[in-house]
Amino acid sequence: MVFVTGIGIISAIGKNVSETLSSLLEGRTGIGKINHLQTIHKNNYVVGEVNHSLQELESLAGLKNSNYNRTTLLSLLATREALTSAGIKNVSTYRTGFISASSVGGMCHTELLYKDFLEHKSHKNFIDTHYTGVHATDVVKHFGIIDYVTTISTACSSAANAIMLGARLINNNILDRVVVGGTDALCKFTFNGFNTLMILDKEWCKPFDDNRKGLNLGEGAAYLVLESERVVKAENKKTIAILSGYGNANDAYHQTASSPDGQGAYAAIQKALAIANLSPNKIDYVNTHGTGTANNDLSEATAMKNIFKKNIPPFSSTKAFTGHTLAAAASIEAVIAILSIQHKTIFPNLNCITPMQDTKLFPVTSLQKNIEINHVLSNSFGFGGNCSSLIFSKN
Amino acid sequence: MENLIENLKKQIIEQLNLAEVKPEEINASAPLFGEGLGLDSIDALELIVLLEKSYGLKIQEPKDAKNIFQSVATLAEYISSHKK
Amino acid sequence: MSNYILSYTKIKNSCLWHNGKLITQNADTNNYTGFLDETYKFLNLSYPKFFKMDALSKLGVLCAEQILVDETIGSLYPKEKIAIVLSNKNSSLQTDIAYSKTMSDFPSPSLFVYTLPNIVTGEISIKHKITGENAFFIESDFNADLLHNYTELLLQNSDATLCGWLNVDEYICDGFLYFVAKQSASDEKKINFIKHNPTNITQLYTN
Repeated sequence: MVFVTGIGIISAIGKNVSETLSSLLEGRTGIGKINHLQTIHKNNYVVGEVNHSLQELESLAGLKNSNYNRTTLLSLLATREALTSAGIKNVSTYRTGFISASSVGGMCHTELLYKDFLEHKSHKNFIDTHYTGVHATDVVKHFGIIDYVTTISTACSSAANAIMLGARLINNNILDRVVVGGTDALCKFTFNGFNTLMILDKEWCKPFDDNRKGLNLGEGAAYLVLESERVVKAENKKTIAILSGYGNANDAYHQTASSPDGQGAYAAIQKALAIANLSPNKIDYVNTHGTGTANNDLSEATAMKNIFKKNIPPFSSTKAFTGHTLAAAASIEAVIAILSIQHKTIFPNLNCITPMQDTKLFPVTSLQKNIEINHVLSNSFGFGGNCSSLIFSKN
Repeated sequence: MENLIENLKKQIIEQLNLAEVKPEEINASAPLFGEGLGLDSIDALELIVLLEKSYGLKIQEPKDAKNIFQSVATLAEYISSHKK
Repeated sequence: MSNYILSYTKIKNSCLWHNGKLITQNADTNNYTGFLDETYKFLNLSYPKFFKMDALSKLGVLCAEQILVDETIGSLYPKEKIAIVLSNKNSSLQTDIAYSKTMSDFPSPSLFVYTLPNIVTGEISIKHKITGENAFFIESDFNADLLHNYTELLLQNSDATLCGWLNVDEYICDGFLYFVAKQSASDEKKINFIKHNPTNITQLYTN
């Protein structure tokens, strides 16, 4: 069995778990105007931006002149909170790993600095951080994690795959505990690209609404600490939740669009249920991928109808709170799923007014408290047909 | 109009990387999407780029594009009636 | 039952190798994109979508082809039980650069599609209708231990895995894919199969 013993998060709705929970409970979205990202689209779009400049993030991390880029700092802050919340003071007591995920890596800085790199040699440090995996090697160096490090890059399902790999390494006794999750910072390249695909909504996104126009990009990082049963018993540790199921499948349909009947999503959810040894009717809440694009929400709703048939559990997309945080999305939403279990609350799918005509499914649109939540399904579907689902269960 | 259609065929082949297709193989009134050339949603976006790049015509919503991109002929029709 | 490498392909220095045998090559080792397009024609692929792909996806699709169409190998396994595990160092950097050049006037959506390294797993899956698990790792160098360990874990639930390293930079493309599956001790063909371990994986990659 794999236990979650710590969580850490930073996103547009808060710089830690406590702020995140407040925002979720108060229905306070993090979607708003662009303040920090330097882009020509600044006044035309809304995003889920972390409300701190690079200098402020450095300060929060207790660092100065670190040359860590935004992606790395977000990762570091969330990792620190996760390790602290898991009560881990010495990472070398057990075989400890770090599995992260990112799509942007250091590009948030290199895109600004590479043009005059030859004139300004001082930029060299940032140029060296371009590669996706550098944030992970920086973070493990900072915390002294030496037993295992790798970075996964499978688009929007990346962090879920990091979580899955972590669980497998523990189940196969390769690691005793592992910090798993993902990080992504907003950057011009990504912004420009999503705009070119015409899947951005210039206004606040409306996941699962019949009139939805697209997604809002977001940024952030979140990590879980997963520990084995043996370590939890030996340390007499308080556990937060159980990672009871996980599944991944390829949609095999299109490079960026999901299949109309959500085949990949269906297969991933089925696998997760099988590992958790749960029938669909045991799921109490689904935190959906729910990006707000015409394509994803229809595909995911269709997959849910095929899995759950007439008994669709309450579901919501929390991307109208945080934006679509790309490689960090699955871990940010894993933390939200766990908060849901801990606080017996289903967080609302904000900004959804008109039910989808084609599937007639409608998410939870207001805060639901005092709900007994034993099992939460969390979906994340990435470009390249990479579909992942996780199931978290109450202790 | 004939010239425009012939030029469009060449531009479409180039813009969409249809390396194995020759202009004479494209029927001007055959559907571009679904059957015919079997183009997909990304190809539709590239056609939007082509319209702006080569003809200065901007399409704001992908949904508007559906009728315009039905065939090479409808695309040519749109260009000649809107071109400044 | 142990896991064995049943088939492998390599593309490097404008050469395509399959199970150690040279299949085709081009004298011009500097032009790998030309070689990839020629190999497509040489293999008679008849898959027009190939020409929309970036170099990384072309490399992956070509490396995967002979393994997956082989009736004694690829076709034997249910598509939903074949996993794909790929890795590289450069992610999608070449295409990122190409896309960034279009950003100043007419950004290209078809280029942006390929600015993620795992799109190649999508392309292989689409072509061969493979719907099993898939992952993509970014590593600073070819890592046989990672491929071995992760694949051994996956084979607890998958029947077979296509795995390897696909790395592209401005001058070089380096492709190495292999197919690994469980084989029983009594399988006659076993004499041609290679035991799945990091030493053998490294040897196949470097030779």
